[in-house]
Amino acid sequence: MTFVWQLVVTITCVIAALLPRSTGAFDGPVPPVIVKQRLACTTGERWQIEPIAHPAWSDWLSWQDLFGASVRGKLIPVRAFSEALALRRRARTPLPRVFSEYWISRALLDGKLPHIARAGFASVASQPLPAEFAALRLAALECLNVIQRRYPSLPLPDSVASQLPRLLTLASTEAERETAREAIGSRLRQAISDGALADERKQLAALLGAESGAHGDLARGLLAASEERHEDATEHLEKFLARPEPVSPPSLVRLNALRDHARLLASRAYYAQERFAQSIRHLQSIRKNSNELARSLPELAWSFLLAGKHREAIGTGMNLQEGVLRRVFAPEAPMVMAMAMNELCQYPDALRAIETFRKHYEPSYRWLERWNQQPRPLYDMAVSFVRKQDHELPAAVAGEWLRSPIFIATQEEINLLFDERDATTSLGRAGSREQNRMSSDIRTQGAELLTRVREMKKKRLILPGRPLPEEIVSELGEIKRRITHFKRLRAAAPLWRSILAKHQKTAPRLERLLVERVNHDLARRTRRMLALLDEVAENNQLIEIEIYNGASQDIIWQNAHPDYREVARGLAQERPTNEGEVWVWGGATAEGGEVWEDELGSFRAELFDNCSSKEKYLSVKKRRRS
Amino acid sequence: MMLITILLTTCAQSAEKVDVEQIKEKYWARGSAPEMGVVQNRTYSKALRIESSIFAGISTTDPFLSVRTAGGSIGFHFSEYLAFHVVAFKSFVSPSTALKTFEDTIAATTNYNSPKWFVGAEGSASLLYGKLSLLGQKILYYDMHLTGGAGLTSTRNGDYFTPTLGLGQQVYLSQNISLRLDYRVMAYREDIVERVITSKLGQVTDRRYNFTHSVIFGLTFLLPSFAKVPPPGGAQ
Repeated sequence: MTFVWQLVVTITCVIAALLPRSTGAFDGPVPPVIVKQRLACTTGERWQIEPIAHPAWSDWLSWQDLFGASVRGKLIPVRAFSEALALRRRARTPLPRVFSEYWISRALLDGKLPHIARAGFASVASQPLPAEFAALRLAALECLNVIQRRYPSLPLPDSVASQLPRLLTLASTEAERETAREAIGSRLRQAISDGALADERKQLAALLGAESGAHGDLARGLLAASEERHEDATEHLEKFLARPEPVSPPSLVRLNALRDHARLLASRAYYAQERFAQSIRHLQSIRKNSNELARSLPELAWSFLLAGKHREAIGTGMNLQEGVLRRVFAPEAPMVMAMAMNELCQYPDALRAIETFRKHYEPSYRWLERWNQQPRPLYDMAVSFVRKQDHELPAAVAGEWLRSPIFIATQEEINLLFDERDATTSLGRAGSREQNRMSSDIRTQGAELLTRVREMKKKRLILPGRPLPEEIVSELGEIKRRITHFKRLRAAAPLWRSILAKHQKTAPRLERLLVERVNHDLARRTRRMLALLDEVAENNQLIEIEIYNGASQDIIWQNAHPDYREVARGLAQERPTNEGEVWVWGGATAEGGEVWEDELGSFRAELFDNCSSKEKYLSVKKRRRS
Repeated sequence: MMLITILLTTCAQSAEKVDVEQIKEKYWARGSAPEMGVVQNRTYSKALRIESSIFAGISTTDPFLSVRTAGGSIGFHFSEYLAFHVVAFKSFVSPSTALKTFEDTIAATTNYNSPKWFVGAEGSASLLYGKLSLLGQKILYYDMHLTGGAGLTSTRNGDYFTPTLGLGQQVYLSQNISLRLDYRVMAYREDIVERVITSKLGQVTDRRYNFTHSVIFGLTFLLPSFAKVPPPGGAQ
């Protein structure tokens, strides 16, 4: 019973450290080396020990077959777990012991229990084992990467993170180095997002080295961006974005999802350097179905405005007034439009843009203020909004919550807890079915063998004192083998149940923590939204003063030049169309027209520059007089 | 009351399972199929609208006949992509140049089966919608649809079940009117009744498959929508 308990502790990794550490001390002079031949945590995964017939693990081949069957799905996860556990129990040397622990975690992952599997892999990856175990440790790290690719809110455990420098040095193949780089890259992203200490971030970035491919470029770019080293940020992010989008291996494919974020950061770094053309180029290349699009459009409008492209700034702002993008929270867009219109001396339109802001964001502002006076958890409301059940909540506010990567990733983990609960039940049933099937097979085979033996005795094919026929011996061996597997399954059942029960016991606490994490993130976003609305409203007041000031001067000016309107109309018709750069491909009105996804961010307003028209008018008048 | 408020604000919220795949991209659409599309706020929308058409065209059915058609259709668009129509047209038949030459040369005529009218129903799938540039001077809104259905072709020799397959296109002139050009292939098995050899007059001398190729050109009218149309962009 003590042994069983010790195993529970090992696998769940709660007291993994209490287990005797594998020391790597072998009886033989040369310890065997275990080598991985395919990607870890895939159905093609395969292992080999060198030399194969090493005394430290003489029956390796039979375990290799069983492991192969389990990863290919020929064994149900409960069976795979029982076989791995049997190996763990028999193990007298470190290699089979560590391999069995890896296999147990693998079986749990196949059983759709990533939380428990993650703890197991972390235990294997973080153990300070000798170099012969490098492949196993790196395979465990690879499996942790696989889990994180699917569930980004399950970060690399601290115990593994502290071992990353060692793991990187242990990596002997390019694939293993890629595994380590992926883990370091994701750890660094997590450190940046959590606001970890600068030293830790720098250390992680330094680990990646200069020749660390896409992971390194992205990590250094993100780090530079977070430290506002804009030139470095653009240099590294440009390098990352210049790489073609890979379709394999999965460790690099994972980075494709971050390309739009990288574009956004690169554009911000260029913007900070006042290199607006480059900023615009990156913002315009953000995919139109990306969640970053809504954030990129107001920034694109700013870039256009500061680049002096007022019509483009207005057109981009209009993108957010049309179609379903009306729902996104982008209060700066109408403000930029108003500023651009003011720059063009289009005062009535500038005022209309400010009015649009007031009209559009009033419900959001009122809601945010109410919440701010009496803050309450927002998770339930966000969930109702995703399910389209909450009709009271302003869409702009709730949309801002939904695009939160923390909300999406944490909700995925919450979903995983529900799935694990279901998996626990179905795996239990599957295990029970498997046990019944195995016992029934053994009984049937035993009964058939007994009948045959009786018949053979009758026919005097089996005689007392003489050896049994070979076929009977072989069949007896087969029954014995089946009984062994059956016994292993039965022996594993209490531990299996215990692990699952323990996980189910901790799940509600984890669930609460996850909901808290979401609530914290949503509250932070909500406060930021309110602050932004306040800021924009304040700025709008200043812009409004400027507009009225300009407009009053305009009225005086127009009264002084009563024929201006007529002349200006003619001047507007004469304006250059720069056909080479602009493709006139239909129009949209401010009230909302057809929106084609590929056109977002490429709109240009058909407004003429009233300020320059005045100058032209005066020169026309001067010419006429002379 | 204060206690209830405190309880409401402090009690832990329970986690719920929610499908987040739908908000990993285009979160603003929340997985709503029409809003996930690449075109929003269609200028020329057909969904939940009744459509009627009038058209005229030509059919090639028998080399000895020259067939012109005129008719109409009425249908309903369940969405921007799927619709159901009832189609009917009358055929105006005259001898073709080939028949006239034949009759003039041989001084005899031949057996043929002239169509009278067709009535049928068909489903339609609008697969392509887009803008086209007309010589770089004007933008045309284009809609292409595939049709498939069945009906009854009435001919001089009898009425026949007729499956149809077609391909059509519409160019919008306004929100409610569009130009339509459709092609249909219609197949039916017809009897050929003897009308030349006097000893066999009125007897069925042949049974054959007829493949009629019909091209029609007409105008389509979209009636106002049944459903309450959401504000542009579905803004709330």
